[in-house]
Amino acid sequence: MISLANPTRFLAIATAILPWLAVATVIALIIGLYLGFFVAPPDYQQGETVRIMFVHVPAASLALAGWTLMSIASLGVLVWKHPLADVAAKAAAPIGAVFAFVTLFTGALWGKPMWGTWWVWDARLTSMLVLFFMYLGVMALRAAIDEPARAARLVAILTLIGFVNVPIVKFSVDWWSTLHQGASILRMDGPAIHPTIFWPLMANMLAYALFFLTVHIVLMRAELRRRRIRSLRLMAVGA
Amino acid sequence: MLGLGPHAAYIIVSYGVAALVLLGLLIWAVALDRGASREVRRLEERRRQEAKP
Repeated sequence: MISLANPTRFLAIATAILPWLAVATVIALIIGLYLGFFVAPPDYQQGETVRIMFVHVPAASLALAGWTLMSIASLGVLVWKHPLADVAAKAAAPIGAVFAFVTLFTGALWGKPMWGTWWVWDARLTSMLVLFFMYLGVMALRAAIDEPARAARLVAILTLIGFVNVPIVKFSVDWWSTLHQGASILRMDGPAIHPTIFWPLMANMLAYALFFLTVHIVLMRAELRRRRIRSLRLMAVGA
Repeated sequence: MLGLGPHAAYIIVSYGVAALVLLGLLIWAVALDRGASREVRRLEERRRQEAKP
C-alpha cells in the first residue's frame, strides 16, 4: 500500500497490469457463461429460470463489496490521509451503482416468474434499493462540491455512515421475515447449494469481480489524470 | 425458446440488459481515461513549449 501511495508509480503499475486483467476478465466471463448455461442443470423447482442467479447474485455481492471498498477508502481519506484513497473511493462509486442496478433489475425479472411479482417491499429488496440510492447520493454530493478536498472529506463521512446498510442488506433475510430466500453461500453450516450450481456461481463471481477490478483501475487512472490536468491548468494560470 | 423453458424471455432480458449496462460502463470508463490521457499530453506539451527560451 505504501509503495502504491505514489500516484506516478500507481499509474505505471496500472498501465502494466491492465491488459492482463482485461484478458483474464474476458476468459473468466466466457467460462462463467459456459458453465452457467451449459453445465449447471436446471433447478428442480425453478427450472431454467435459475440461470438468472448467475448474474443476479454476483452483481449483488459486488454492489455490497463496492460500498465496503469505498468505506475502507474513506478511512484512508479521514484517518491515514492516503493519497490514493479518495481516488479509489470516487472510482468505485459508479461501478457499485451499476452493479446495484443490475441486481435490482435482474431480481425483478427473476421475481416475476418465481414469486408472481416484480417487486415487494421486503427487507432485502428495500435495503438493496436504499444502497442504490446511496450510491447515487454520494456521486451527486461529490459533484455538488467544487473544492476537491472538502468533497473528499464529506463523501468519506457519508460513505462511512452509509456502511451501516451493508450488514442490513446481508443479514436482512435472517433478521426479518422476507420473501427473498435466505443465505445459501455464506452460512454457518456452509453452502446450501449443490456443487453443480455452486461452482458455476463461483466462476461467475470471479468473472464479475475481475470486471470490477479492471474498470476500477481504469477509472482510478482516469481520475489521476484529471487531477493532473487540474494541476497543469492551475500552473498555466499561475504563470 | 432456445431450450430455456417457458420463462426464457426473462432470462434473455436479464442477461441482455446486464451485458448492455456493463458494456456501457466499460466504454464510458475507457473513453474517460483516453480523453484524460490526451488532455494531459496536450497540456504537458504546451508547458514544454512555453518553457523553451
